[in-house]
Amino acid sequence: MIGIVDYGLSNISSIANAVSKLNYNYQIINNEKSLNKVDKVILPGVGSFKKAVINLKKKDLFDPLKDFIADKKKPFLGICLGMQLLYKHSTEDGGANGLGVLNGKVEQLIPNKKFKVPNVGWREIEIIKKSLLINKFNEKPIFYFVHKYACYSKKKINTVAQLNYIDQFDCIVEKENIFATQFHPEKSQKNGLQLLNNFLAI
Amino acid sequence: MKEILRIIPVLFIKNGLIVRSQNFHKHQFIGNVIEQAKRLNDYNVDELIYIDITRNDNYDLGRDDLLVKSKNNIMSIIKDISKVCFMPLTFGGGIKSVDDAVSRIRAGADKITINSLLYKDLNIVKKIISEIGSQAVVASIDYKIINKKLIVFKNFGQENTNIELISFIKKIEKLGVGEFFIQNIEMDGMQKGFDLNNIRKVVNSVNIPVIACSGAGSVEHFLEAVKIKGLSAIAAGNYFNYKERSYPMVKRELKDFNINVR
Repeated sequence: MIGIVDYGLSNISSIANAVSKLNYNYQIINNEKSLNKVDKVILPGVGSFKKAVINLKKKDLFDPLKDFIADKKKPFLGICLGMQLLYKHSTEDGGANGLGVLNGKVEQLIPNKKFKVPNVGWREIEIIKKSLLINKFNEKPIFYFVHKYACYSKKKINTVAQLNYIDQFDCIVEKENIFATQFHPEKSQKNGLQLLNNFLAI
Repeated sequence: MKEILRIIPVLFIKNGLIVRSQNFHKHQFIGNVIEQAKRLNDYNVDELIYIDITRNDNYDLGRDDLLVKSKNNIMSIIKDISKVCFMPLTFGGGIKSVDDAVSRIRAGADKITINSLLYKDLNIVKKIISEIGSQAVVASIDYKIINKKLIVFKNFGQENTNIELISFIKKIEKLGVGEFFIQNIEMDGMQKGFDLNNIRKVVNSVNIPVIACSGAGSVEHFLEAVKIKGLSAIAAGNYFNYKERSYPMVKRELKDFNINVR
């Protein structure tokens, strides 16, 4: 069974709709007990990093999620803010610590003459290594992004794809059982549904 | 990286039905919300913006003569649309509180647009931003040219605020909104082309993405608008809703002219 974590902030129904469209059943996770019943988790995310951490802690999901990822090593997909939460720290809203299962930091994109922030829209990503998530994709698939903060891995060894928008940042990472995308697969039409399907089939 | 320009159909919902709009006040019913969403999803559109212009909470019109079913509240409309659309969905209209914003996001909206709140209570706008994030908040601003000046209008474009557009958008940008959606009221439904110079002014004045709407009447109008450097998206209401297959046609023509679209 697939679990979709609900911590009050995310576009939970968009993810649920996409999972249903792909003919998988899901369960909404809003406490530790429901987390124990699933064998795969999607952590969606829209909103502020700090608030997300506070909400996950309030629901007593913060440590159990860490445990699910790092100790139980079950398949996990973080989307957008759900990806950022996997890192050690984000500078958003004065700073907060994340789940810390990925090495690196989350920092704000700074706009310049050429590039607006937030980074909103469809972007061609650059794939730098193979991953189960992008099985059957061409070299430069297009996905939908909407974010203000970006993830910078300490070492690129887990980086599957990156985007060069102002800076070069990670947009797909894979580390053992951990998968994450900065873009929104649930909003990226065919490519996005294919990517989700690849995760669900793991 | 070369930016991909977004082309966005805008749908105006009134009493649960899609309407055609002209100068913000003539509204003609043209179809069922969900059917239209399905069709646009099949066209692989970049994004959809829905603006609810219902003036009160009365959704069911009881207009059986229209032969289209109206939906009886905006939340169920959002839920139904997000079941058939796997693209970014933006909903606006009638957002008065943090709860209104959060509930729309939870129902399946990716972004919301706010308009009236910008003139009523900026504290609520700030709270909405801190709750759902900058990237999910689009400020929708309507203006007219009065004595050669760009003046902001509120209340469905009916009320002159006497506020100058550029200083206003700079102030709103500082609040932390994620995007601007701008419309010249007098271009709405006229099919005479976009308000190019003023759109350019807005784009050059802010660091956040700008979506320009109102005025599309032909593919040439899109070709003119894509020349505005830094413009993030071009939106159109009537043009995409009235003309069959107009969306894929515009995309194809833009591609033929080597414009970077999806």
